[in-house]
Amino acid sequence: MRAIVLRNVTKKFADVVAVDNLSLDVETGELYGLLGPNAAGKTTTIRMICGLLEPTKGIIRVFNFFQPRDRPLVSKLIGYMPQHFSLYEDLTVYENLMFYASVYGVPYSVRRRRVEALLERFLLTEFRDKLAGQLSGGTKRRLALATALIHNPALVILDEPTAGIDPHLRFLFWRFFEELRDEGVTILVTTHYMDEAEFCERLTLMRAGKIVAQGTPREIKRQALNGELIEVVIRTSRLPMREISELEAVRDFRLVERSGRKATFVLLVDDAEERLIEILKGLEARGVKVLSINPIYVSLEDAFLSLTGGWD
Amino acid sequence: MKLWPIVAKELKQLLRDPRSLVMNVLMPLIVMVMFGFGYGGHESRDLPVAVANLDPEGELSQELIDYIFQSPGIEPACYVNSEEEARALVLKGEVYGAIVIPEGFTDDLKEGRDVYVKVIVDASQSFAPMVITQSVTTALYYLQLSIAEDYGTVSIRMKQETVYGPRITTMESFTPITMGLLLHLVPMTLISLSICREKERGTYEQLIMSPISRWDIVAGKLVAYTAISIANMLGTLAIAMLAFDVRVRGPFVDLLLFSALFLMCSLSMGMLVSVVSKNQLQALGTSIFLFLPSFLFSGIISPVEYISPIMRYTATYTLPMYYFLKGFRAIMLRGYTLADVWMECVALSVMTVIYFALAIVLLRMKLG
Repeated sequence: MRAIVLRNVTKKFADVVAVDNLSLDVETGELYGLLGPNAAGKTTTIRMICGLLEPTKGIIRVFNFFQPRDRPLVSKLIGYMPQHFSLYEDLTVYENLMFYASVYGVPYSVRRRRVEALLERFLLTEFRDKLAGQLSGGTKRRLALATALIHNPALVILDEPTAGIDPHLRFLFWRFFEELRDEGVTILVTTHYMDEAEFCERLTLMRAGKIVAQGTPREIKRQALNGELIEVVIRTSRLPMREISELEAVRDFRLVERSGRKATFVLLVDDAEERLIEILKGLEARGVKVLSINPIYVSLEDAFLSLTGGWD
Repeated sequence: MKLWPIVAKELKQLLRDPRSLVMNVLMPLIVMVMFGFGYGGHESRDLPVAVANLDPEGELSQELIDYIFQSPGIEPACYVNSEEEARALVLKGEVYGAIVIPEGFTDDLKEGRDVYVKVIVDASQSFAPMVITQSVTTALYYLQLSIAEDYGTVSIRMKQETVYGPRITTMESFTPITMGLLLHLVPMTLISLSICREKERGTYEQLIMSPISRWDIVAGKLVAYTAISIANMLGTLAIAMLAFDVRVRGPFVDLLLFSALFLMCSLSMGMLVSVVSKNQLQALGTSIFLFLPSFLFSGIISPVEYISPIMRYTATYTLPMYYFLKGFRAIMLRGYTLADVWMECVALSVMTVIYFALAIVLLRMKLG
């Protein structure tokens, strides 16, 4: 069963199209990313999946329940962390957790234990009796995440959980997400940090409400460059243009640097890891002296830029 | 049903928020104390008038003046020597009115000729003309009685009997109004902010995402605010009764139950305002706007019979304040029981249920 299915979902606010014909599938147990710059339509999408906003067009299903119609049935299965801190600032950390534990119907006998366990897991024990309004930004995020998990949801939806917090905590958060995924929880997370998206198993890249690319990070990069890249450094007195172009696996290539007898080429292939040995052997068979050969790892940011021609 | 978590949460927040504490608890107490110092205690409240006695030597004119200032109501501020002077003082607003006793008053009376006493009143004052005319009429009545006795002619006497007496002080007759204002405006304004505040602070998004029903949200908040407001109502009544000697003639428990019903009605009304308002400022404005007709058309300013039928049917009879004042007055001043004011109870209950049901139906459990 799929955790989330969106089919041709469109959301208009007055004349503005916030989400335009979006379809995506999130498998159960997956760590799925929704990636894009500000105003890409990520939050609107998330809110529609939660059943908080009604789509203008299209179908949304969460565990085979239709949203927003079935929200009362499905809300127990979802743990939601909104983009902005939305817990009670005039209640303490402990009170906020206990409040949502009782609202979500966590049995009285386990409520206390569950809350204590979450406090410990998200390093909140020392802030237990502090008012939520007095916490720092990063601590607030940890509290929000703990609250989203209070009822052991099968699906966790996190809207920009790492925006504006320090890199150390961002890394910690992604470790939490991976831990959760390993426990069998499905996670949908939005972010505008491209480097974070590498942690996702699959993702959808959005811009201005539309899908730019969809798939695993590697698939998206391959799609962006129309293949993958290999960097090869050779020692030569003349440039082996003909030899390289003879290689069957190479779709395109470019000389990127030449200093003395050393030359660096970048080759475009369909699958860098698979073609590496083949290319090395091919070049050596043609008498080209290879000093080093490596796959080039492209960042998602580069891929996104090449797919969209820029951020705007 | 997730009612109790909401009740507990709201109570914690209410007791922690200094703003709501000041507004909900301190303000009514201060108002009641101010009111008590303003109207309770001293009972001399005489309006100053000018007197022109143009028959200074006559014994009957002196007797009339004695009668006029015997009863409370008006007091002589100054004596002048002509009608013009007296009128000028009234026109300048230095006195509320003037009494002119004409020349030869005593002689004319003794010789059986018709006489008059002139009363000059300032019609721009709402209350004073009535008091002054009444004092003079009463005095004339007593003077005529005494003359009738002297000459041995017949006289008609008035016998006054007061029901629900012996005496109701100003403080007591104004207490229902003060309680009405405090039990209406304060709770209504306070609760009208509650849902808007959740929306403005963003906590609403997380709350409605949980498996909670509209009923839980509306009823939970209502229960919490009722608890706080009842505590406050007890404090306000205690000040009136202990510090300013306001007596409750009916059963005290009935008075409390009736007030609590009105309180719930005010809170349901405020809840409805909160549900339909976009932000706290709008909610506050709407509450005050709703409060004004309650103040103008509930019999506070004048008896409801003075209000035009249109406003009586659209405002007086559709707002809870009218029924509260009627019922509260009856229990407090006349010694009625809850059973005697069952009509008012029914009216308030029906309104409460309507406002409450509307608030639940109109509460939006979505964003945007």
